[in-house]
Amino acid sequence: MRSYGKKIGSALALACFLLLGACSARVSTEDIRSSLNAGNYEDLQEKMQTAHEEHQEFVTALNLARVYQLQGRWRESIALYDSGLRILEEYEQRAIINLREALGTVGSILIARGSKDYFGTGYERTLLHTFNSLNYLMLGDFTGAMVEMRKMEQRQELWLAEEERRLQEHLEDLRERSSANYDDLSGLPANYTMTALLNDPRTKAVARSYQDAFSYSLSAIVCRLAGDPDYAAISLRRAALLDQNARILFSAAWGKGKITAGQWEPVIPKAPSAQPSLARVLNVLKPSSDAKGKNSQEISVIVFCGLAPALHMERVRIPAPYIGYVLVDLPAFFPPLQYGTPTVESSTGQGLPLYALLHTDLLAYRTLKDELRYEVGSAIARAVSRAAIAGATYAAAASNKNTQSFAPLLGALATGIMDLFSSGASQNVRNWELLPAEAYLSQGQVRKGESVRIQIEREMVEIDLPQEANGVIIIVSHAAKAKMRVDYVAY
Amino acid sequence: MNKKTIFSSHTLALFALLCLALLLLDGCTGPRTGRLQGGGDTQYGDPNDVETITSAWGSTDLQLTAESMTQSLLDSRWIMHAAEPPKVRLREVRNLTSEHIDTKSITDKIRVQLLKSGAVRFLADTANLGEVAAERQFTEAATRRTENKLMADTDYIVTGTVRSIRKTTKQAASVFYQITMELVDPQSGEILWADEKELSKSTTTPKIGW
Repeated sequence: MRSYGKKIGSALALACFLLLGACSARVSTEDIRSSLNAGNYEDLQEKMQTAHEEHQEFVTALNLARVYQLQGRWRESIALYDSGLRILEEYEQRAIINLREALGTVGSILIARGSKDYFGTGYERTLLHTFNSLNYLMLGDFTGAMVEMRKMEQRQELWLAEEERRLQEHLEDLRERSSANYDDLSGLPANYTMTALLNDPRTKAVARSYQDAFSYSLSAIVCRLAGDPDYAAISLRRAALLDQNARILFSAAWGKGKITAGQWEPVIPKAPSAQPSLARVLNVLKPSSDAKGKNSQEISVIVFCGLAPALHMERVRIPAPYIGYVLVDLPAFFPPLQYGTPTVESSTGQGLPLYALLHTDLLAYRTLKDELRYEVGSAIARAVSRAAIAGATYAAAASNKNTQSFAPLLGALATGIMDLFSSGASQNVRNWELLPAEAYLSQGQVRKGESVRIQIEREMVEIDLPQEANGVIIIVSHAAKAKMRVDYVAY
Repeated sequence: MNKKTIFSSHTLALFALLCLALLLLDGCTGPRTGRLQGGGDTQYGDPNDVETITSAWGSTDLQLTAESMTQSLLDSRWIMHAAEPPKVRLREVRNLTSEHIDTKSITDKIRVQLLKSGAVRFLADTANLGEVAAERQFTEAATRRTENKLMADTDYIVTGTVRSIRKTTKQAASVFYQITMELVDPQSGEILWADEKELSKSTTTPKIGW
């Protein structure tokens, strides 16, 4: 009896050891948030660097790139975003029937969700280019920034191509089950914390999980400065379709535009930078008709607040006879870190309107909602496969006279070991958690020689604008309380 | 026991000799030219070979564009029938693609090929001056100072743009590049010559792989 029980125990212990050995820990969300709160960027960078060198993953590259960006190390940040992009491109160019992908998918469905490599969701792949564009912008390379914005748009096409089949299946499924609807969340476990957030009207109002008005608004600013006003107009129209605040903001700053065939045609004012195209050469040589001209300068203020929600696996345990319980693990998010609403005003007291055009929490929740049917299906498959292994352990023990009195204990032990492994594998389930929770944008004109005050809750920063510049783009990063960082580029 | 120890030391000595011989042999076969040699398989290749590693802008695109544009420009009547080689300034070729293309490499290659032909003379680049408008402003300012007159006295300027259209699906990807260049009279703004080069590339994804 002792030797048989010992064998089962040893097998379970060995399986546990091997499975846990396969999962090595990343920088935890708690570590990231506490390092940022302490303002210890160097420490966080070191940890992220070690994690990236060890894992070479899409998400480790992006998180490290963002740490560099928060320190104003634009070139290092570009290198890391490019590294993340190479990993993503390698994934996108893989064969249609890919064995690695197939094994990962089978593993994520039957064993643990973390078995499959993570290559970001639609909004993360889009924002990779948006945030890399900011690096080029801060280096004064407007052409480089524009290239990144064009890549941002192309990335959405790729994402659509990747998701098309799954979305199509999902729609067909809904059509077949006429009683079902997109907002039906009835199959979720009772204790699942995301149910309310997925049902939130703000989540439902997000048009597409991979598009945001901030990226398109930034694209309009960048393309105008890089000398492509036509592309800037297209971007601005797209931004306005996603969020009416973009239209309000730019109508006030650049002009109201007009409505043609029901479509808004925005005004893209002549860029003050000395990069005119050949077609506009004669216009450039004429004196500017802009009355504000010499005494005022353009100002764009971008404020990044807080931290995006962090992905983790939520584990719901449902009591079950013989094996203790059945574990159902579903993806969920730690709430975003959000601070107060920022305000911007010039030294003469002129307030500049700030609009929140990016909400990463809503994009994350909307993405989860879009994929919920698949996630629930996978979670059930994992729960069933774990329960089957524990059940088989119980049955094997119960069928032997020597161990049948310990059978429920061994069944529960098997469940516990798999719970432990599932917990270890969950460490691999991470997202781009160093994205800001919100991005605000302001666009306007101030008198030359003025200074600008930016305030978030009790923190305030005042910067003097360079008098000789035609315009200034200011980036304010507020990833943690009492740690506001301001960078700007003049043109 | 003793015998075993002696045998063992002999074996060790033999092993050490073998190692030494191997090291010496390795020294004999190593590089004698003093060049550094890495562990990887690095070889010189023909720079004119067609490069198709990825569908991104590459050396072959650069060569095809520069050769085509240079020949077209040399064949234009403004250069071919000029009484004396005109003075040309190469301006920026604007990158309107979704790739980080170093467009300076295109203008540099065209400049070298045009200079070799002897059909044109080039003035030094005035980096950071904004294309034609800056050229006009620069000329106007320079004419007031005789010492700068020669430097600013440009007959023509050459500018251009690179655009691209990229389409990607899970099965295939294609990219189309359009490179347009223009010869402009900076005084009148008249476009005297223009030509374009179109390049198209496509890649397919393998059906089965690791």
